[in-house]
Amino acid sequence: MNVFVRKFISSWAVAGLLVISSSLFAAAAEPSLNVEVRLVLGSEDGKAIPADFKKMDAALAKTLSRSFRWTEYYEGTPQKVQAPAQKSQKVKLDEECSIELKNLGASKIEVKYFVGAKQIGKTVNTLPPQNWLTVGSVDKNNSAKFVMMRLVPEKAAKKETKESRN
Amino acid sequence: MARRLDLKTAEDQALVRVAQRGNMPAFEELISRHRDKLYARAFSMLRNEEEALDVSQEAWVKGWQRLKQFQGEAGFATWMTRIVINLCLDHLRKKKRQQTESLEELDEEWGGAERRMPFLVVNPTEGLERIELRKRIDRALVQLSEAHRQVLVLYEFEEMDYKQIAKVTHCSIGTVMSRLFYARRRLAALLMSLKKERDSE
Amino acid sequence: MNIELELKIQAWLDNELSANEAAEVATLVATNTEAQALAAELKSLKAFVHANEPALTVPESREFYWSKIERAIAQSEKVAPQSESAGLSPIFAWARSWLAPVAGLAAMVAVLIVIPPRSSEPEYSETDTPSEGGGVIHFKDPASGMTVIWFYDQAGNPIQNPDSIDNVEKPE
Repeated sequence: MNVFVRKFISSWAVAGLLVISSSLFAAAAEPSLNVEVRLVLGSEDGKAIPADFKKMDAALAKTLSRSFRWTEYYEGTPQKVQAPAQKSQKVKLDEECSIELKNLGASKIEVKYFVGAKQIGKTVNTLPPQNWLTVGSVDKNNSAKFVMMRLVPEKAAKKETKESRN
Repeated sequence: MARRLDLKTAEDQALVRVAQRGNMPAFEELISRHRDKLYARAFSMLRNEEEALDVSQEAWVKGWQRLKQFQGEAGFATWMTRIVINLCLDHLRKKKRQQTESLEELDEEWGGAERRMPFLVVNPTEGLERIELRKRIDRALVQLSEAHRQVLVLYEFEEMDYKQIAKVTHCSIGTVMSRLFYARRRLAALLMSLKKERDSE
Repeated sequence: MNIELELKIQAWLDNELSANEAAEVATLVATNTEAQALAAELKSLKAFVHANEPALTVPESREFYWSKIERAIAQSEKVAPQSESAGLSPIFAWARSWLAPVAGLAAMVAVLIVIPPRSSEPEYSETDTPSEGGGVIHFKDPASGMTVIWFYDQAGNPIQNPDSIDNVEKPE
């Protein structure tokens, strides 16, 4: 083989190895995401609210009423989920709804949404800090259950971890 | 002996074949036939005379460069309008990166008051001449948000289906559907208010 | 009438529904006055907008408009062959075969190390519709930054939990 051709190929081989190692480095450096998950109940009459649901704070309820028609909003106990890179986490919200979260890296998260045992749909979204992602489908008897999730800012998540250690 | 093509009377297809062999006058004739349509489409998307002129001219340059790829499955004008649409969308994406939309515009993209507006029972275009109707639609289009206008122009004027619009605008079909819906509802409301203005004059 | 139904009526008028779905919507429009009113509004709007794209003419003379295009074409044709035929000296070609990939990689590694990969990412959203022929409504409220993904079944109804329907209906 011609010397120049050999050198050319070898230089690209070195380059290829560097690409693989740098992408492995990048994947390894991908941190976990801390996600806050809330199960929300929207209601038109405030009737038949499960005992473990409490009324949602006014600001968030106002945000929801921009998008939904329900007049009152209640929420279950918020859950904090740590989603390590590229690993799936199942989160059970109540007897009916559950989700499976997968951190795809770069603030991108895959959400599989289940009603009972059945997977209803899958969505992949970036989660900009403080922005809510809402996934739902259950709507009956003038009320609806849906799931809201957002990233917990890194500082807040660290603070909470410290407090729980103390 | 080869017959000389009369550029003025030749069909588009014949002009394209000649232009594909590098004949500039044939291409210029095609431009003169379709330049208004291309410019109008660019203007519908961009709502700016200077930008529409630049983008339409850029489309013709691209058209010349890619002319050999034109197989004639669609008409030449349709092929060219797709080029201009793609350039308009690129242009709008670049512009969007440079400026953030105002809160009002974003609200409008979401649907705003149109979501709760009662349906119209009066035809806001009743009794209008075509020229007046077009003017009225033009005035209403100006008032739509960029996202609404894009989807409406692509559906109504460019005759793309939901799937094609979703592809070129990089949106989900659901987003296309809701944008188109709110665009239409807003347009109906705008046309109605223009009718009221005219009736009260 | 909810937004899902409103969008379905629009999709019906736009011929975007399957035959089954179209038949369902047609029945709804025939029997529900609100659906009828929306269908009538959208139908008349579609009809007059479709045929009335504002007619405009290029605000420049034919010659001037063409001259700018002609210049741009000539310019692009001049640039293309020059860049293709630019000859490289053997030393530069040798250096380029090594330096180009290494420099490119150095830049990539620098970007990976120096720039934090989060928050600057462009927003991305992709949603699979339910496997059994249902659909999904996807929208964003830009003012609050909230994204909503709402799944519905083939008939346009919200999806119910098949295991719990009996429990809901029966009195305790």
